[in-house]
Amino acid sequence: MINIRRSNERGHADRGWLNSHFTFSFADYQDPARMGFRALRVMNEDRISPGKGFGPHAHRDMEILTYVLEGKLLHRDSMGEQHVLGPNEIQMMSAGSGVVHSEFNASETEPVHVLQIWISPEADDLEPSYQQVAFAAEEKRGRLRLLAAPNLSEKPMTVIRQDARVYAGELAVHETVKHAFDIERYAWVQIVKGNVSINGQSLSEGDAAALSAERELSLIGIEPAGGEVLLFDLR
Amino acid sequence: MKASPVNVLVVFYSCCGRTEKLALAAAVGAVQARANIRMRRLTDSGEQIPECKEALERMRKEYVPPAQTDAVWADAVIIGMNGKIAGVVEDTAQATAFGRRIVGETRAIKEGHR
Repeated sequence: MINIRRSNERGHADRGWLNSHFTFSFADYQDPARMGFRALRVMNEDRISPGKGFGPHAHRDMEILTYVLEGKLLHRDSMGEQHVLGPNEIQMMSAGSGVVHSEFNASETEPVHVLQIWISPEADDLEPSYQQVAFAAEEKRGRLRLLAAPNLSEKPMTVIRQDARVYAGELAVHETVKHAFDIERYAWVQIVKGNVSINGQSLSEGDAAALSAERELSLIGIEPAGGEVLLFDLR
Repeated sequence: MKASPVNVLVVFYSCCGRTEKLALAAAVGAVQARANIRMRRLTDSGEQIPECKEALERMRKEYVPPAQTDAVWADAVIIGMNGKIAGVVEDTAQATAFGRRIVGETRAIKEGHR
């Protein structure tokens, strides 16, 4: 079964310096029917103006992934971490028992376009941690590049404290990638750029598909320029 | 049934980041105790401290000063400032004034509900 969540159905907030689209309930956008999908709780697409950002604020009991599409994001937190995050990198902040952090556009001239993703952890009160991993753009072209999983694999990636695997994949027009599923698992596919067909359904940037009871996921890049997805393989 | 979280306002004064670091630790402690937190930095008087230029500029950008809405929101307040008297008299006065404001506003709200 496949359910499509269209980009224009998402919640939207424009605060001037911040333009956000919410796939699931967040802040002032609240819909009891859109509280997440399995362990995936938040999928926010944010565009932050140059030099602007989120001042220090707290999180707890959440695995928070940040994926930059364009621009640079400056992260600081109460664990003493300070890093700049750009495209082809994944940031995983495990808030655990509590973290205070800030995020600002690292540029004074260019906007930053970023996805902020929250996944519920397998347990509360875990030790907070910070991970950031960069990869070559080629590693996601025409294939799915693993960004996060519960256990380390051979490639540099982040460890998530949930039974979830997160991949990025970029597909040229007509390029196909298949991903086999255990029938009891679930998938969320977020189109982060361009246009991609998912099991025969055409999706565009900002759209997403929720899959359940499927044995295979088939992703095909479609006109005019293919696209990029984030895939969440969930329990 | 879970108790509703306490709202904790962390107000601090810092120019070089040392008190900010302690305020952050206090805020994390409050979060660990399952409180909601807001962090607010008291506005400085335009200090020029060459060795702290970077921290000062960053904090001026990252934090906003406490507002009346924060005082109304807060169930508890943590105040962080340099313990040395020299050079912080104004800051102490600022924080004390803020404390008075919180008390006054909280009293007004409570009296309004009676």
